[in-house]
Amino acid sequence: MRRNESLIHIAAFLLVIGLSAVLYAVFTDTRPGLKALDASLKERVSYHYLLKTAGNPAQPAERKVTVGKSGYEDGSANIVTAIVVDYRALDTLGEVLVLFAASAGVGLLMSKRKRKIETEASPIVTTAVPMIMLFAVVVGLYIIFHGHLSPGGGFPGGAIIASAYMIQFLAFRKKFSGNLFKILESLAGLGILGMGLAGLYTEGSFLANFLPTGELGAVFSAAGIMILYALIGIKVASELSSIIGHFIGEK
Amino acid sequence: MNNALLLLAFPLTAVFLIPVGTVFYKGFGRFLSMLSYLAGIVYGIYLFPSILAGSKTVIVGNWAPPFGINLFISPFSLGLVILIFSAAFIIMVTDLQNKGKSGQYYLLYTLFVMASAGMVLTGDIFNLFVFLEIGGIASFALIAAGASPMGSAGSLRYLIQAQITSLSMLAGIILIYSASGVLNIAVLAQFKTFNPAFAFLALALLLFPFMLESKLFPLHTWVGGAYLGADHPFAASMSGIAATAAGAVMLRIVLTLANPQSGFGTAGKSIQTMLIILGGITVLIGEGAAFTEKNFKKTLGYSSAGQMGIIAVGIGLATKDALAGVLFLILNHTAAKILLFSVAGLFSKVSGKEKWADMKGIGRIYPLPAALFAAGAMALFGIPMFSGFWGKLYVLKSAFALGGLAYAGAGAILLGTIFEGIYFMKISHTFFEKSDISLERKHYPFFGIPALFLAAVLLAPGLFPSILGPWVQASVKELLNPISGYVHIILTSGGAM
Repeated sequence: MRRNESLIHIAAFLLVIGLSAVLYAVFTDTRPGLKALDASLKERVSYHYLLKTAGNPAQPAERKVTVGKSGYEDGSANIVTAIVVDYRALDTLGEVLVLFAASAGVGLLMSKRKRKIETEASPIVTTAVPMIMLFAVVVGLYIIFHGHLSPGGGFPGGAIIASAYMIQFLAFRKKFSGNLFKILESLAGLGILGMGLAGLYTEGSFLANFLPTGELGAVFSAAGIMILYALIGIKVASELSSIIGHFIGEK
Repeated sequence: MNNALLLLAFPLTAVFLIPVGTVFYKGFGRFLSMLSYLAGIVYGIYLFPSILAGSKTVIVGNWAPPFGINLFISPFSLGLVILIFSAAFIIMVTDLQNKGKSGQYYLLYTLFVMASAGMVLTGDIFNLFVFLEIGGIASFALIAAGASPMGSAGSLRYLIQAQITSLSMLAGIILIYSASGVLNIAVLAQFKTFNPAFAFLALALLLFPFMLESKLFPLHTWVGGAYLGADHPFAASMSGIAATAAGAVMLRIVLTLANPQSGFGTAGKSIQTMLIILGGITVLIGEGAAFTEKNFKKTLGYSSAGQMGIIAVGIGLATKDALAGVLFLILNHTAAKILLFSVAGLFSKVSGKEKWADMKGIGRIYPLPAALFAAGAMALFGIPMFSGFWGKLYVLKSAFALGGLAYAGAGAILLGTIFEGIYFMKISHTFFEKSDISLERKHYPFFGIPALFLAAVLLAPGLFPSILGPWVQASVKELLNPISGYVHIILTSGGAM
C-alpha cells in the first residue's frame, strides 16, 4: 500500500505543477486570439434564447419579447426554464437520470441497513407535522406549476415535496416500503420518455415541443413545459423520498 | 434520420421499466436490460449500411445546431455504439449464472451502458458532460456493490477522483463558452482563433475525465482499488465499455474539435504531443504495475491501463495508419478484456482464490477456459493472427515513420509489450502447471458460448483484417477530414431530415 501511496502523491504533485504552469501561461500569454469572457452577449447562443429566435436566428435585432403576446417559438416567460426544458431538454433528461442513478445507487447499497434507535415523537411534533406537510406540499406544487413563469420548476418543487415526506417519516416512524416510490418514479420517467417520443412522432425530432405555446406569461401557457415539469416534479419528489427512506428507514 | 435517437431510447425504456417490473418479478431487470442491448445492436446493424454511405446528424428538440443538441451518427460513432451494446450483452450473458443481483443493479448497469453510448454519439460538449455524470454515478454504485469488502473503498477513491476531473471538465466548458458563446462541437471546430495558451488550458480541462477513464498517467491511481472492489462483470465493463467510450471521446475532441484548421489548431498540436508523452509513460507504468501485481483483477486492470496508453499514443500520432491501429486496438482490447475477466471470474469462483498465483494447475481441470485465457492474452500482447497484432503494428509503423518524439512513444510501447508478454505467459503457464489442486469439474454453459464467440472476434480480424476494412477506412477518413465531413454534415443539413 505504501508504494501506491507515494505514487499517488507523485501523480498529484505532477498534476498540480502542470496545471499551475498552464495557468501561468494563460495569464501571461499576449498572442492574439479569444480568451475567457471574450464572447459578447450577441455572439452567444443564449442571446437567441433570450429573444426566442433560435428557430430563425436571422430575425431583426430590435425584436422584443413581450408578456401577453402569443406566437413565440417557446411559450415560457421564465428564460431559464425555456433553456432547461425546451432548448436543451436532452440535458435535463440527463440530469433526471443522474438523480435516478443516485437514488437507485442508494437503494442498491443501503438496502441492508437497519435502524437501531427508536424513540416516540412528542405530541407537539405529531400535531404540527401534518400542517407543515400540507404547507410544504402546496408550496412545492406551486413551484412546479409556475416553473414556466417564475424561478423554480420540477427540481426544487420536487425537493420541497420530498421534504414534506421526510418530516412525516421522522415524526411517525412508519415502516419504509420503497415500492410505491419505485412505481411512481418509473411512471414519471416513462412519461418523460413518452413526451420525447411523441415529439419524435409528431414533429420528427425527439423531445420536440408539439403542444401549443400559448400566451406568454399566462398561467396556462407552454403546455409542453408544464407537463414535463410536472413529470420531473413527481420523479424528483419520489426519488428524493426514496433516498431519505433508505437513509433513515428500516427494513 | 432523427429516429436514430432510438439507439438511446431503447436502454432508457428499459431503465424506466425496471423498477416497476422488479416489484412483480425479480428477474425482470436482467431480462429487460439484455433485451434493450439486443434491440440496440439490431437497430444499429440495421442502420449501418445507410450510415456507411453517408453520416447523418440527429437533431433533438427540433432546434438546429448550435442552439439545440445534436447527435452525430457516423460509421465511427455507430460502429463503437454497436461495440458497446454488444460488449454489454456479452458481459450479461457471461454473468447469467449469478442470480443474486437486484433490479437496481441492472438499472444502473443499463444507465452506464446508455451513458457510454451517449458519450460516443453526442455532438455537444455540455451534453457530453451530462452523459459522463450519468455514467460516473452509475459506476460508483456498481463498483461499491461488488461482492468484495474493498468495494466501498475503491469506489470512494474513484468517486473523489472522477468528481474532481468532471468538475475540471465543467470548468473547461465554462471557459470555452465564455470565450466563444457556443457549445456545439461542429461550430467550435471551425471557430475563430483562440489564444493558444487559453485553448490548451480549456482542452486539457475538457480531456481530464476521459484521461481518467482511460487510466492515463497521472490519473491512473484509482485503477487498483476500483478493479479490486468491482465484481468481475463490472470490472470487464470498466475496461471494455467505459474505456472504449473514453477513447472515442478523446478521438472526437483531439481530432474533430481541435483539428488543425480550427481555432484550437496550435493547442491541438500540443495536446497531441502531451498524449504521446502521457501514453508512453502509461504503457510503462501500467504494464510495470501489472507485472508485479499478484491479484488477478488488479493485474488485468493495470494491463488495461497499458493498452489504453498505446491507444493514447496512437491518438497523439494522428496519422492514417495510427488511427487505423487505434480502431483495431479498441476492438481488440474490448473483446480480449471481456474474455479475460470472464475467465478470471470463473476461476476465482471455482477455486475461491483472488490471486492468480494460487490458481496453479486449474487449467488441467478447466482446459478450455485456460486456453481461451491464453488466446485473449496473446491478442492483447499482439501475436500475429490476432487483431491486436495489426493494431500495434500500425501504431508502431506510423510512429517510426514520424520520428522525433514518436520514437520515444514507440520505444515505450515495445518495452511495455515485453513486460506484458512476460506476465501473461507467466499466468497462462501457472494455469497448466502440475499441482495437487483438486476441484470438482462443473459445467458452465453460459461461459463457454460467449467466450468462444469472443475468441472468434479476436481471431477473425487478425486473420482477415479486410473484414474490418470498410469500417476502419470510413472512420479514419471521417476523423482526419473533420471540416468536410463532420462540420459540413452537421451545419448544412439544418433541420430535421
